[in-house]
Amino acid sequence: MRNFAARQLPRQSAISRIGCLFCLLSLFLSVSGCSGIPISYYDSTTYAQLTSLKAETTTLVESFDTKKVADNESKIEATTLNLRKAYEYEKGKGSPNSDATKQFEKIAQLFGSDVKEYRESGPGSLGTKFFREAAVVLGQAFDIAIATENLKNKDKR
Amino acid sequence: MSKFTDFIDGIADEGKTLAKDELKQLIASAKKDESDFVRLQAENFERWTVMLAENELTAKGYQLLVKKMEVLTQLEVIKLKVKAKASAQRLASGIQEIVVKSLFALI
Repeated sequence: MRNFAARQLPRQSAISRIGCLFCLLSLFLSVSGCSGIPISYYDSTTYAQLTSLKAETTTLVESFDTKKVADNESKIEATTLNLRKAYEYEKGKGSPNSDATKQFEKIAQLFGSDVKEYRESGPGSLGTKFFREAAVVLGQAFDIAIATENLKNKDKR
Repeated sequence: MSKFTDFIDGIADEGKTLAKDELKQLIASAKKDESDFVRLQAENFERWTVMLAENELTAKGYQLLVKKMEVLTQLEVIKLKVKAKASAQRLASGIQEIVVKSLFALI
């Protein structure tokens, strides 16, 4: 009887361990391809675009506090185009990258609202330091997107 | 007393529509939150309120900045979603490597 119990215990333990592994395997199958959950990997091009655009857009928005709208129009056009190019790059990666695409959309909207407020009000009308603070918010938006990219796993391929 | 609390306390509000104590408590506790994001947003809000008090921002400018905080929250939500996905993906890859390739060959 004692020998029988001694033989049974390790066996039951092994069965329960294998049961756990199958649970984990089910999780694996649900996370990977089978369930269709889109997963995107870290992309160094995206990272480089985000850091570069952060510097470009925040420097431009900070200048809105002092520079006349007419003096900034060509820079606004160029920066808007650069943002659009980066957005199209993200969008082109398809549905697995929808999170990054949404973040780019929101950042572009934020920049667009800064430009709209600048064109409508001009420098100083919303406060002497309004656009300096708007640039801080824009920079924080980029920081979140940069941190998001860094959280992604590296593709092993 | 900080400039922020002085300003909030000094707002004339005869109809008592602003819960001043709740607002001060909300910002004070958010500044101590363990989330970097929450602390940063509380600091933004407090700084802009002081700037409004010191006439560096107009009321309209202040309102526009506070509204921009919503976009930051939406971006943070996406970040947290990606973080959870990446963790699940690492676990799934580990199972693939260790269980499917190695353990299954042994049992």
